[in-house]
Amino acid sequence: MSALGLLRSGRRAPGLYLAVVLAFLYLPIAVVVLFSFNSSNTLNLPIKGFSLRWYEAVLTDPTYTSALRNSLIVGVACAIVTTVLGTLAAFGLTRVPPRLRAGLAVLFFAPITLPGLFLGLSLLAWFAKLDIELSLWTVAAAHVVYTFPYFLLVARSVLDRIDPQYDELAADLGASSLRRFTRVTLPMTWPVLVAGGMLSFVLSFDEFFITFFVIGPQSTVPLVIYSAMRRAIDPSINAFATLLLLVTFLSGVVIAVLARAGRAARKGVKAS
Amino acid sequence: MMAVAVAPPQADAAEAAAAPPPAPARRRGWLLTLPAVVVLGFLLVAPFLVFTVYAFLKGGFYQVTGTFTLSNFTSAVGSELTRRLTLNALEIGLVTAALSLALGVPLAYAIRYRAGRLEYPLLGLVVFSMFTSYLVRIYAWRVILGNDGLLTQLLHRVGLAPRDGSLLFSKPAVVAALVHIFVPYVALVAYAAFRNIPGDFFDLAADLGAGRVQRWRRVVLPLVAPAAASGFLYTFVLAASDYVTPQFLGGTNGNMVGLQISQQFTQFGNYPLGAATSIIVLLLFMFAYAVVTGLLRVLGLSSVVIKG
Repeated sequence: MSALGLLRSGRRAPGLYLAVVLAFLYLPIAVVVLFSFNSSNTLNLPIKGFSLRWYEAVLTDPTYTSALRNSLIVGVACAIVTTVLGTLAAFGLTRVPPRLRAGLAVLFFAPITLPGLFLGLSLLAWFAKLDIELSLWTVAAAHVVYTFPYFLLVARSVLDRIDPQYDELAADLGASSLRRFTRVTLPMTWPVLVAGGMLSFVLSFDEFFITFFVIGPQSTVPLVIYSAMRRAIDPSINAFATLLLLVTFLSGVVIAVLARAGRAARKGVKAS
Repeated sequence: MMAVAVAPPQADAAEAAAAPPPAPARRRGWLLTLPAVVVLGFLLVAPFLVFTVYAFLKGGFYQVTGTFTLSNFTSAVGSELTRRLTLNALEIGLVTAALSLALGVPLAYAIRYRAGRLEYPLLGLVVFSMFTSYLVRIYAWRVILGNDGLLTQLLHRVGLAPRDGSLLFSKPAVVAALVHIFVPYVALVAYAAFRNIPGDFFDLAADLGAGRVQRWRRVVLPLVAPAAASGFLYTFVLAASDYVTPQFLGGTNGNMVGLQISQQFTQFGNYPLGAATSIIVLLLFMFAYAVVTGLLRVLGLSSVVIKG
């Protein structure tokens, strides 16, 4: 590994290496953003002039706006179901014997290890066998399977460290299990659960590999980009992609803030 | 906060004996996991079983009959095209995983130990780059590598342009886009492992007389190898099963078996043949998994226990 050698060779080398790799990660994204403001419809440098025409084209094109609406519907439905299932499962996992926990973990994290191609194709075969018509709802169902383990990863990192004594104490004081959950556990954990739900939304919003096989006549955001890419070079993709970047970046910021708030809330409770 | 301690197994046992979870909570735990078990059973396990059974049934155009047969497997293995596309997928997967590791692990190392106050902002930059849509990245590489794309123009200017004029539609184009997608994943997994090694570990090892090579071999490698291996396998499996990137960047030379499998389902309607090809590919993935974990064990790199 010559890169490692470079890192150790001098004081400035790590900085240089960081700059090069980060440039590699961000340059393609920067190109898309740059061309989204290009006034001409070619993708050559130098840029001819500044224009918002591609944004106007995207925001007034019903193909794009209906795809946005469909992706919102699927993403929100998926996030709600995943959050409910994931919250129950995450709390359940901390309350089962280790052997059962290991078995459940294999099932719960299996969707991460199975590539989207095979998950999507097996669902396609399954829905066809059951004569279930493909629609946005089959997409949302598939996305629940896909996002569930990621929610669990986010939730479990915090739930595992919660001191069970609070729950026991509340139980000793006579609180019902529902009351213990809403008054003791939820105040300690809600930011993390919301962060997990938002992560599910973002993952669903951008999912293509499974969606391609289980969607009906409608279209979602990644599918619209896919069909636009198949046609020809269409500069409005740049504008649409930049808008998406904005949405996912902002979601990422919110998720990070919530996850941090979750850690802080837990520490505060522990300290008091 | 992240204390590193190799805990003796007795400590865990003693802890468990001292504070057993309350009995009623234990009994109810499995009930809470039940909804997820039912949903995953219906949408993951059952579909995959049907998928596997299909691979052994006779198929036609959008129809499957109940007759048992192995002909799907024999015709998949017998097809020269399938063999070539499978080898292509494995090659692209391996090269992508190796390059992602070679770029991602040093990236994590530099952020963890050499960035100082910039550690968290830089980590944030890496994470945020993951929030870019998969398709948008492929599109971006199409723009960059296109006939009048940035990189092509640049290479023209320095006289290094390829003879046939285009960088698109080749294996390297597919690998470039895939490495771009997977470097942040590998870097994050490696960073999580490096977090467990405080910087003074290196000084400590040096004080004990370890040379530079020994420090890497004896301290860093055992701690980061399991994480690097899982990052490698994750990247390999996802890159080798990609069916979108080859469509836009691969051309004929960079085509992969994933695309062929998806077409067997969506264009030719031959579910059994597609399912059989998928199972062959999945078996190859499992073989790769066994090789990597076996290699870790042989090298004595898999048994390190760290409690964070």
